[in-house]
Order: sequence, then C-alpha cells, then structure tokens
Amino acid sequence: MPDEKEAKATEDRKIQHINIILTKETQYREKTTMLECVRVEPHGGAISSKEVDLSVAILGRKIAAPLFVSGMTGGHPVTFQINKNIAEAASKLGIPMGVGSQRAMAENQSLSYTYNVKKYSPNITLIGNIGASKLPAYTNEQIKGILDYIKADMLAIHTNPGQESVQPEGDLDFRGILKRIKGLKPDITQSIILKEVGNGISKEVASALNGAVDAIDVQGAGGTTWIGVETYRSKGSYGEAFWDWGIPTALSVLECRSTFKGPVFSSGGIRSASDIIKSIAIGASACGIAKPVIMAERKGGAEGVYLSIKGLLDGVKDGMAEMGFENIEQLRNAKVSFSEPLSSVLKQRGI
Amino acid sequence: MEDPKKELHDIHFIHCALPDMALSEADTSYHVCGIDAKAPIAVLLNDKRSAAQKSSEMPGIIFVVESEGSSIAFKDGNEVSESSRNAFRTVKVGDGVGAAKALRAFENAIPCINETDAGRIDTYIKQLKIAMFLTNSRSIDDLKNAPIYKTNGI
Repeated sequence: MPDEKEAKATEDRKIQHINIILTKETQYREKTTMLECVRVEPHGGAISSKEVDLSVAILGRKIAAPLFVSGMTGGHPVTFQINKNIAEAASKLGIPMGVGSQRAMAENQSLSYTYNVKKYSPNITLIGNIGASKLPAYTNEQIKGILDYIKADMLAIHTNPGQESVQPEGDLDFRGILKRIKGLKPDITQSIILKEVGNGISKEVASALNGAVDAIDVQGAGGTTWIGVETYRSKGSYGEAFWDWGIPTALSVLECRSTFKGPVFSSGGIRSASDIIKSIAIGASACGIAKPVIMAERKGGAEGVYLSIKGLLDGVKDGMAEMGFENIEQLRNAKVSFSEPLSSVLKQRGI
Repeated sequence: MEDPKKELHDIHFIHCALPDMALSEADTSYHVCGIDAKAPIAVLLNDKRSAAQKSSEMPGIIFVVESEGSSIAFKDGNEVSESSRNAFRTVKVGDGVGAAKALRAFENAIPCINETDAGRIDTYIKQLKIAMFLTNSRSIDDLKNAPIYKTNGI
C-alpha cells in the first residue's frame, strides 16, 4: 500500500486537476468528436415535446434520461462539496453520477467522506471508480470495500495510458490489466464499466472486453484532454505532441458498437442536446458529461448543476419532438448517415 | 528532403486504451546502414565534416547529409559505404509523434530533425516511445503495423 507521502501527493493532485480544468484551456485543439459528421433522419412529423419520454434502462436500472454525470473528482476536502452538489442535482433529475478515482480513499480512509454522496442523496444511482493501472495494487476485497462504503451501484474502471504517459508521477505499466479486470468480475456485485478518460476506445480493445466488463464508456477525443491537463502539471516536456491524440467520440462509439456486445456510452466532448441525440442515434445507450457540470457547479452549486442539465435535457426533448421521436428506443433505431471525414474513416476501419 | 507535413497531419494512430505492456518495453532501437541507432530519428546536417564529427561524438544517433540528391549517413566519424546511399527516405518531422507517423506511413522512412533541434533528440525519442506504448507496439516493426486512419484534416 502507498505511504503517507504518496497519499498526500494523490490528494494534492486532485485539487490541481480541478484548478487546471477551471482555469486553463484544456480542450482538444484540432480534433473534434466527429459528431458533426452524423446526420439523423427524422422519424416522422413533429410532435409535442410533452409526448417525448427520455427514460431508459441502463445496466438493469431505470433512469430518467440517457445521461449521466461522468466521474470527475473526490479525495480532497474541496471535492466533497462538489460531489455533494452534483449528487443533489443528479438525484433530483433522476440520472446517475460517477465519482472520481477512489484511489485517494483507498490510500487515506479519512478522505472517504468526499465520495460518500449517498449519505445526502440516498436515491441516486452512483458509479464508483478505480484506475485500471492501479488494480494490481488492490485485492478484490479492498475494491469491494471502497465500493460498498459509498454504496456504489456500478463500478467504472478508468484506463488512461495517455494521461499516465505525460503525468509526472504516471504509472507506466499496463501489463496484465485485462486479466486483472476479468479476475475482478466474480467478486464484484456491481456492474462494471470500462472507461477511457478522453482518448477513446477502439474496436480491437472493445472486442477483448467482451465478457470482461458489462459496458464501455468510450470517453473519446474532442472534449477535455487529460494529456493536456497533465501537460500543464508537468510544465511542458512531452505532452504537447500528444495534445490531440485519441479516437474521436463518434468514431469510438461506432468502433465499440461494431464488436462489443454490451451497452456503449458516449462521452468526451458532449456539450449539447444535438450531441446527445446523435450519440444515441449511432447506438450509444447513454451519454456522459463532465466539464459543463463542474463549471455549472462552481458557478451555481447544486442549483447551477440542476439548471444546466435540465436545460440540456429539455433541448434533447425538443430536438426529438421536432424529428418525431417519441422515445429513446425509437431514436436508437433512427436512420443515420455520415459525412466526411467520418464516412471515409469508417470504411478504412471496416465498420 | 521531403516535407510531407500535411500528409502526416492527416494520419492518426488508433489509440490503444489497454496496452498489454509497460512503457519501458517499447524498444526504439533500429539498425540502418550499419548503424545501431537508439531510434530511427536522424539529425540532418548541412555539411559532411560536421556530420562526421558529430557521429563520432554521439554514437547511436543517426546523422545525415543530403548531397546531390542522395541521403548520406555517417557512422563513427565516417560516411557509410556508397552502397548504403539512399537506403532510406528522409522525412522531416516536428516531434516524436510525427516521427512515429512517418515510420508508419512511409516505407523505408527515417524521420529527420534539423541540426538546431539536435539538443532535443532525447525528447523526440521519448515521444516516439510513448507513441509506441499508446499503440501497444513493443518494437519499431510493431509500430509500422499499428492501426491508423487518415483524414483530410479534422
């Protein structure tokens, strides 16, 4: 287990990440999500948005809309209020939320409260979180322990080789991680989601994940780049060259959908109702958002998060109504077409 | 020397989210023209004399001079044999990711950097190593077969 110095470094890193996200330019510079290349054909004539039902079942849980707040933070006293506010808003909206990596609480139990949002929002669907590269350091019992402590309903295992490569204290050994994930499944009651942190997941990796995890959250390129965030922390050196490294979100969703048998979530640069509608239409079961939520939380607390997400979901309803989609299932079966460059890339990739 | 920056810009590696390797396993070593190089990244110089001198001072780094349409590499203070001329295609790159793309995209390519950037060659090699890690490539040969896609600029 890590020593006290390492635990403190983990705690400090959490707040550095938040500060960089809030104050620096951390978006991809050239790559986009490629969702702009997706065109959704209307289902029929326009209907009233009151007739649109956004509810959907994800991994056995019914949620109010195909949207969740991606895990961002935890592990520093400041992050407690952030998580608590997000949980309050997400609970009110009936959508799930994730917490950031629980490594900090595994290293320092006194920080566990920063993740423990169910104490205040008991009805929320909560997604726990641990890093893939850290899995070998913990037993299944320990992982079960940190999930049970926060009463997590699902576990997101985040894989982040790009971020780790640039992070000054990065973990650069990913040998045997897939095997370790497979070894975790029998002992964990929660559904397991494998997620990236902004570089996307390919069809090759998605294929290998069949049977190992229950769902994939692509977290593709086009939104926040964690390689960029770590480039600020490392003060240059290697990161600049990798700023735009990754698989665009739309491409990644289509890659994963082509080989993975479980639900695929679209995240990474999801900013608008249109992004959500297009993501669902290309086969995503739900979308994850992060940066807009933390920006809203810092400006307006729980109410700010609620209004921000409510506005987004109202936009999804309006957009679906205009195209005649009554529910998410209809939208998931929509006819879609692709413009360049996504169209050509899909051909190159055999999708 | 060619300058296919646009072409390299439109090449994208397919990121491997779960590389089954450690970064330290990415082996950048490369053998070309009798030179056992630390990496397939060359420093382009203007004159043969300084290339010869640098090659004796920094074994393991490829130094190249372009002369009369030929790419001439230097080893241990000497020009490599006549028969090794044009054994590779020099491709100008701006960083280690560009080097990785050039190796993947062009047959017999040796990515080149200018003499003014020679002091940063270890940074470029480290970037090449990271690109190998993020494509699950243990060797340069693996990298040359890593999945990519091409765009017209996204």
